[in-house]
Amino acid sequence: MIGILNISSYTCVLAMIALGLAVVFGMMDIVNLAHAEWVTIGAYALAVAQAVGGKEAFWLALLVAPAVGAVLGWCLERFIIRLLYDRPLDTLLATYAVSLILQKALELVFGTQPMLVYAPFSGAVPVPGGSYPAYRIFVIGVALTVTAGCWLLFARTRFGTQLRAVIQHPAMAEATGIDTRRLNRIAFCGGAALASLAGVLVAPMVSVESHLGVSYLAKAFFVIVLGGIGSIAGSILGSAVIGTAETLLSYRVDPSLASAVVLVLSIVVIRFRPQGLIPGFSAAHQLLGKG
Amino acid sequence: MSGKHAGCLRLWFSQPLLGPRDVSPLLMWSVAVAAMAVVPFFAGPWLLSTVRDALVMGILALSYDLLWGRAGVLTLGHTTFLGLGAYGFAIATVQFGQASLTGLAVGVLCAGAVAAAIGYFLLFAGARLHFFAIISLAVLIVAQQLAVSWQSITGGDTGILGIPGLSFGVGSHTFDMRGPRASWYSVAVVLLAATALIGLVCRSRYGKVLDAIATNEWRAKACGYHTSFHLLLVFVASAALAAIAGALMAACSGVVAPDVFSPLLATEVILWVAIGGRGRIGGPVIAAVVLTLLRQAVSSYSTDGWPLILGGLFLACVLFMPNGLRLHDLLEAARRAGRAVWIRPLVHRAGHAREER
Repeated sequence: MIGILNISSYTCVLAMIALGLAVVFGMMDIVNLAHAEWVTIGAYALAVAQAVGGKEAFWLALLVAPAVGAVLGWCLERFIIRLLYDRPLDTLLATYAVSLILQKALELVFGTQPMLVYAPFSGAVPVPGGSYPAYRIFVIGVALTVTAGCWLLFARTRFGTQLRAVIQHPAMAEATGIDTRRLNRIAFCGGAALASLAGVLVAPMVSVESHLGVSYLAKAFFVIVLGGIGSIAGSILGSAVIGTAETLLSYRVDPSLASAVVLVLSIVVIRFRPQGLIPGFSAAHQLLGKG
Repeated sequence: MSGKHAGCLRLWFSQPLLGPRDVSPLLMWSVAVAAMAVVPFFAGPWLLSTVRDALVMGILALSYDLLWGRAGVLTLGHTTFLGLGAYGFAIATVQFGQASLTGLAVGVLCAGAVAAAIGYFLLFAGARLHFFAIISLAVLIVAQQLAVSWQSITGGDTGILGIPGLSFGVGSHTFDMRGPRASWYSVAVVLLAATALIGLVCRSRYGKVLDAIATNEWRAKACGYHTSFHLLLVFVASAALAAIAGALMAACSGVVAPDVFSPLLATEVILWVAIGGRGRIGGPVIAAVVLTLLRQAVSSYSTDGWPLILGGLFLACVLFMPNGLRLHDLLEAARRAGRAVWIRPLVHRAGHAREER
């Protein structure tokens, strides 16, 4: 039971990070390598909020951090990515540079030592076969709610339909009167906000440093590639696969060896199923990329 | 059968006749040869070893230029192979007490095998562009984690110390490449040879095939080329060259630490090729040497400054100089600016005249 809870808490966080990345990748064909920095920004926002307002500021940070993330994401989209829409591969390099600058800037402002963050409540909940930290159960709950919300947004609203249309065929979507630029911007900000929210949630469970996000980045990309590009179900399934494999392996072997095994596994899976486990909305968007 | 293969190879690598286009590369190469031969007589040992380390980075830049510039395969983890070469050399010479040439071979074989495995699974599956870049980044991160945590072999965070320098015997005579001047010459010879070799390959028919694949893979495929296979070949060759650079680096500096796997260095490699100009051969090497020396100068003032400068340079390069920096363009821009300063009154008058009309 505890094992299952461990797996699901890791999977949920991974899914939240991967969701934004998957949608942006599917829509704009942009690989945002700075995405992981938004996880770090969320965690730092929590640290700042708690340093100012005490332990209870967690609830405030839960709202403020996504807003901060969305604003910064808007800046990134407005000032850098928009200039590079016709050169998709260069956006990868540009966002890589941005992530480098952000990491170092965070280090310069806040120092290299880990920041102090607290979980808003402690205590354990009895579950069959032992007890489990209440905070982790809270994380699972929040992540599930948010993911379900995204799913509803995608599947049931007019906005979601438009998003899927843009993913499937941007030119056609534009021809039917959808403002693709605007949708791109909204999706980008939304993805950034989700990543920041995930940052707030994971912060009390890990040590908050400037390179906190990097370890999530590579996994989030595996999730997308494994699950299928631009598909929500795919990224959820992908995070379940990667999260389960990694958690189970890390019981038996060294964590870094576990991530190596996961890497090898995903490379082998890609060889035999290049379009992902659940192919996305975009039929044309295969591993070749559109660029 | 072997005759057929030899004929095939001759067809691939046959060189066109010397023409006016070959003058400037030949000239540059000869100048480089002369400079490499002469410099040790003027430079002190400290300067010599600093520039030598920068030249090793030049070899790395060359290998990446072959991969990204020529074949159009973007990877974010090219230093994986540098690190594999360095660790292979270090482990073979220090832990197993092998000769340095064996160490070099082990390093190159390791890197080549890893590149072949990754390349087979990814390139043959059709993974290109973003996907390949991201997965190579992940490979780099995992390699770094393994280098840190697998202490019994790699020495953990401290790495491996006391790596012997290069030395090899031909017949009864032993060449010792440990002194500052000898190691300079060995690095210079490898760099110049690699430059010449890659220059020749790119000049031949095979270079044209690579250009075709980089420009439009579908068309190249339609012309009957097995593109995945050619990309895999270039990937492995580039990894082997990077591993040679790694082994030279380990032999020259005497230490290997998990730092060689740092994503920062991988970023620098991309920057060198981006600034030096993709697909050109001299540019990336010069950019690598200059930027490595610049990094050493900057990090003697502050250690935090370099990544920020690197990120800024990188962003500026991607946004404003997608084709790299060219001496020719610089001169042209300077000439235009100079002319604008000189002829400004004329331009104004012309503008007025147009307005009046």
